[in-house]
Amino acid sequence: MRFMKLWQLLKRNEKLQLLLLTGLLFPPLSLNLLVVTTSHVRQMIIATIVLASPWPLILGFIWMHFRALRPSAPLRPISSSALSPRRSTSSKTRGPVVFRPPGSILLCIVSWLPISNKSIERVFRPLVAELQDEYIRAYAAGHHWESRFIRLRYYIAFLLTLGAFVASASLKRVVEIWKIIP
Amino acid sequence: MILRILIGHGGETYGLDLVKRSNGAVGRGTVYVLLDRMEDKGLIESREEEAPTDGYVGIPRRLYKPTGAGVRALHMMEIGELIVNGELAR
Repeated sequence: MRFMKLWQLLKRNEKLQLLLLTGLLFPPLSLNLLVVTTSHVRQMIIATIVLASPWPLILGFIWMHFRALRPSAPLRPISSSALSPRRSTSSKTRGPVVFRPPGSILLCIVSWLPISNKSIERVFRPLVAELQDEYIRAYAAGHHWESRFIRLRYYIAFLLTLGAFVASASLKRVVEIWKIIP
Repeated sequence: MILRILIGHGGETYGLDLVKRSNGAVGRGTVYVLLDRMEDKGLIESREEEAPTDGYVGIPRRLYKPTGAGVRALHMMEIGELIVNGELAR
């Protein structure tokens, strides 16, 4: 009964249809449309920038995880045929492929950010070390999908750590400045 | 919470173990930032483990253990909690 009422409401209200459709396709945009209905242009622009900004990053990480980064064998044995000089150059039989260990890209990203080596050693390297440990254990046990899930979970944990670190460092700096001011 | 787990554990432990022992109170995303802050304050100390365990390769994990100052800080906090709860006054 409640569903039927909702359906009738949805059929009548075009604005609600548009919100639902955009909400399914791109959630931040639906929130923007909500702001548009209040006719505040400045709010709409701010909301667009704030809400759309993390999406390329999130989508990029998901794409990297499911497409580019396949589960890699931790200790892949090199076959003798792969080392022979007459190797096929086709894509399937190209020979041994060297994969990066999971988390190495995260450490590369961190090394490019303005973060001290001490903080990288104490905050980000232990996280990557535990990602590699858990990933390798799951992979060695034959749980390939679990290893993918672990990798994704640690990527999210990495983003949270980065956020918490930036917030903590900023707060620390603000307190230092506050103490300097007489 | 972290100090309590570390002291209760008795020896050195690593971040993931702390997350598991905290029953969801500490997340993977925040535990290392908290440990870093605590190390800055001298409540805990850390070192990298010498060799990867069980023959696995990878970056060595970081092991944490409480310092004397950390143990004293926890005891002071527990006494403070008792005072606030009014159990010492009775």
